[in-house]
Amino acid sequence: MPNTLEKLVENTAKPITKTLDGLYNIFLGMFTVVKHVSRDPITTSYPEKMPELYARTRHRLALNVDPDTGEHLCIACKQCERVCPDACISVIAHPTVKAKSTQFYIDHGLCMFCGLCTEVCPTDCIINTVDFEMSSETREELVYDIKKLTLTQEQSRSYFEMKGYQTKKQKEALKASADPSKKAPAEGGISRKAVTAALKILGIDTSNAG
Amino acid sequence: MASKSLNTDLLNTFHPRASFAQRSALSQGFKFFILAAVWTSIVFGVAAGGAVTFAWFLPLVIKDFLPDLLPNLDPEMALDIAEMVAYLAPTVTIATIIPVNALFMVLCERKFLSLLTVRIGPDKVGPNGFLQTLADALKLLFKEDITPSGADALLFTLAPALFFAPAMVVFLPLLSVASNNIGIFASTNIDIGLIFIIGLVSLGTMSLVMGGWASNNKYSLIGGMRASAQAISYEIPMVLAMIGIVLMSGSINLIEISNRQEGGILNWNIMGNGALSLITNLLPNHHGNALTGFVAVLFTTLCFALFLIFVTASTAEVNRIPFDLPEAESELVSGYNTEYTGMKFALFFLAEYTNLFIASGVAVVLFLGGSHLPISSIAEAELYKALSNTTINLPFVGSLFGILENLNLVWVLTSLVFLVKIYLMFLLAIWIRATLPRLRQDQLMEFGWKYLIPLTLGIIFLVALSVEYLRSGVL
Repeated sequence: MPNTLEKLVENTAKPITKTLDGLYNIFLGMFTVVKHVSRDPITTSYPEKMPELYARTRHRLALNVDPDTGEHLCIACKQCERVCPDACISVIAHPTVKAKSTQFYIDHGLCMFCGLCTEVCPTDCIINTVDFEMSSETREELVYDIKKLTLTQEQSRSYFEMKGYQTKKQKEALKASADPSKKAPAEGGISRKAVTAALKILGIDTSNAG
Repeated sequence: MASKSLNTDLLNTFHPRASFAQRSALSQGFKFFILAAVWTSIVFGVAAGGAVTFAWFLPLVIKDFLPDLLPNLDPEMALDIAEMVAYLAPTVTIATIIPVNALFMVLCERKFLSLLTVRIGPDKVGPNGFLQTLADALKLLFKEDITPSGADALLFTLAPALFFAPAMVVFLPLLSVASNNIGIFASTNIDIGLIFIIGLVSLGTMSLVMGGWASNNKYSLIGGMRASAQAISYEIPMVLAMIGIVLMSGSINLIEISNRQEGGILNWNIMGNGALSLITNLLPNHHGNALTGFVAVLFTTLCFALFLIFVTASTAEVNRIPFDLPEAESELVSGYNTEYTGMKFALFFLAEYTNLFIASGVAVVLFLGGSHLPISSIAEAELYKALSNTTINLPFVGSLFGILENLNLVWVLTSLVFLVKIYLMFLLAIWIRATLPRLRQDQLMEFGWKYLIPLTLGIIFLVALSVEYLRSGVL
């Protein structure tokens, strides 16, 4: 008898507790939702307002010129062509002049924006820009030649500053300075500063590496 | 510093770090409040303008000036014409309030939903997107009207109209509550108000099945079938919840149900219609019957439960999230209205929002005190007294030769209170939409038949017992 009574109580209590539990959870959810009213919208109206992209965002590829002198930085070493997993880069070196390319093709239709080419580039010439608006009507238009790829001097300077690269001039100045081990790197090297500091914490001294 | 000025020059081709202006949350909420206030006054102004014009102004003009314009006309004939025009007032009010109200509700829903889901929402058309739905309505007007091949053209055309017609008619009893049962609008006070509403609201489902079947589209057909299954399942708990209120009020007349709840928020049906004051019987030093106190607490809880059940069932009845299975986008494209374009689609849309408005209105009448303010009945009577004999003095024309003297403006207060309460219920519906996910079809059916209906039956049994006990003191 007590067993059946227990069962009866359990069977009556179960739906009630379940209902109350469900109601509690619904109100909890609704309270969570209403808390969001006080937040700023996380969406932006894109065409009117450009998103704030970070310096290391990987979008359309471009070639830098020297921000100080304006000469093309590409030395036709073909490292980028070799490392490209999609084989979308083709560099044509100048037949006679050393360290100069006559043509530079990048097929952005093939490119997967992995950024490997920008990592291997010894002169910081090829970079990922923050420009993502590159739609075209034909696939052929996505193949950019050297004229389309090369940035102006001003654009190059802004990217050098943004990404924390050092220009040739700055590098030379750094080399010329008397004791590089005691001095912090010259201005512009924001990210490298951070890397040096991080390595120092780990106990690795990079000051002699230059 | 240098880089910043450079970047702005380069924006055409490259746009590094173009920062965008952040909106502050306060201004978002403030803008929504402005939108709600402006649009509520527009809705109220349009409806009240139509009502006043036809119920009072036009008859006045006809009575006074028609005999002068047409000397051959019998003066009694002018009176008859005036009376006929006056009786058009409820119709005109309904015909004006429905489109304007639907425009506002759609916009309000989109804006409030964007607030809840941390988005911007429509903000392009008009100031801060205030005219977005107007633009949408215009767009729908100019869309091509397509009847799919293989569709039953007659039923396909008839379905939206049949869906919209009951929604219009059901407005009538609500109008009498809103206008405080005065003058011409007393004719909309139907004694069987609640049954009238229940009967007509369920007609809409038929047209959903009709539209779904006539479209010659599998998705539409499934949507229509789901609509009918859902309506049949959830009408029962909705009506049972209504019966609980009818037991309490002893009437199915909306005005009487509304008037029984006057005198403060504790007298509303959601708070037990004044039974909560009997809770003092539970106090230790009170020489009352403790059982009465317990019954009062139980009764109040039951009333709140009835409110929750009514909200749930009517949400399912008007096919809103989380019960919007007839038009589940992820499963059925757009359900029963997949094949509809242009004005036919607009009619479906309009009727859907009108149904939601009516469901909110019925909830307000049944549970939230109808058109009464949440203040004591004495204060409310004072307010009514002050408003019932008003003279408007316009800046230059005075009271327009005595026309604007001694006006009864109680209806302005009551209808505004009613409208604001309905919109608050509507905001609750949007809030639910922003929170809860859609149910599966079998979950919907199971919840309706296996839990909601038995629960409601039990509740109305207890409500009946409590009402009988509290009213007569005997059980």
